[in-house]
Amino acid sequence: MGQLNQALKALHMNEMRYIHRQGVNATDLGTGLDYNIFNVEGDVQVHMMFGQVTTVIGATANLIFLNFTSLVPAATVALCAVTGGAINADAVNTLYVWSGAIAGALTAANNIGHSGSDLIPWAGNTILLSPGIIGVDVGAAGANTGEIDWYILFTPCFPGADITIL
Amino acid sequence: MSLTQLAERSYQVSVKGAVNIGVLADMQASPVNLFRVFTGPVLVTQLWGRVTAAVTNAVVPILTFDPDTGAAAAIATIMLTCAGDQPGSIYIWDGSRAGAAPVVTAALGMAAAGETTMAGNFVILVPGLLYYTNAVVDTTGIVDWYINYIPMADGARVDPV
Repeated sequence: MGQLNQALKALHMNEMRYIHRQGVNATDLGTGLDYNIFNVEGDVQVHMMFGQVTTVIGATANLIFLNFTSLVPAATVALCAVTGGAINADAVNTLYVWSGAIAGALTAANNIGHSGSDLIPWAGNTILLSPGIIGVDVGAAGANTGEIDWYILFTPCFPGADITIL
Repeated sequence: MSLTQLAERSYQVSVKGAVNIGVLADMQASPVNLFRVFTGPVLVTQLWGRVTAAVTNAVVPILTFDPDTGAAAAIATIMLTCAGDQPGSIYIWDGSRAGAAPVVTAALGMAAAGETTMAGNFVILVPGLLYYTNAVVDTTGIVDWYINYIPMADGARVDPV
């Protein structure tokens, strides 16, 4: 199965791929701890990444951002700045949009990838990620209720490179 | 590798498209439904309309999105009048809400000063209905609407309505 899977991936290595991670309250916001969402297996180019609230967020005032822990070196860096406001009480279909910039905040938007005034654009053409783990830093506010689905659009850089759900 | 693990692997995707073929009755009422997003989020890469029969009256559409959960909101400012627009005119959404409304151009998708493009790479739409409201009716014009998008979940799609 492993070799077949590898061969299939090699045939289609240049195709864009998406992966959708469904939120799980018990192990995500429910713990109050930072949690991992995607495992990057090989170099990939990221085209877009965002979260979608699927169950209304509870009362805890979490300030969230995305981080990346590379395998080599074993270090964790922020992928973006924290959300402009706490996510407590965010409604279903609130989107958390990463602009692709480290300096940019993870921006909350309603329903359509727009903030109250305008489009939240993707700042870079693609972001290169080496093997490692993408995680969500939930701040120090503590455990919360609610669920966020996370989506990522990417292109593998060589056969076998992929992103999987954690 | 378990079946669950296989199902959780990534999926190859490409840009897909949908067309809403206009009919004469469209601009005789408001709102005019264009597309519905089903099942999961999509990334819109382009949205445009093409006039197939000349518009007579001062039609001023406002593109609007109504998510299945949440409130409807305009996704562009009100368009300039479409009065006199001839077949081949193209209305291009630049992907911004506060910026220019869909801009009418000649058949090449270019305004007089240059190409009209999406302001950002992608715009996320969750499941819901895309339509336009229209304060002025018209009895002669017909516009076909096109959308290109990337599905971001299993089964996510955009259909004309």
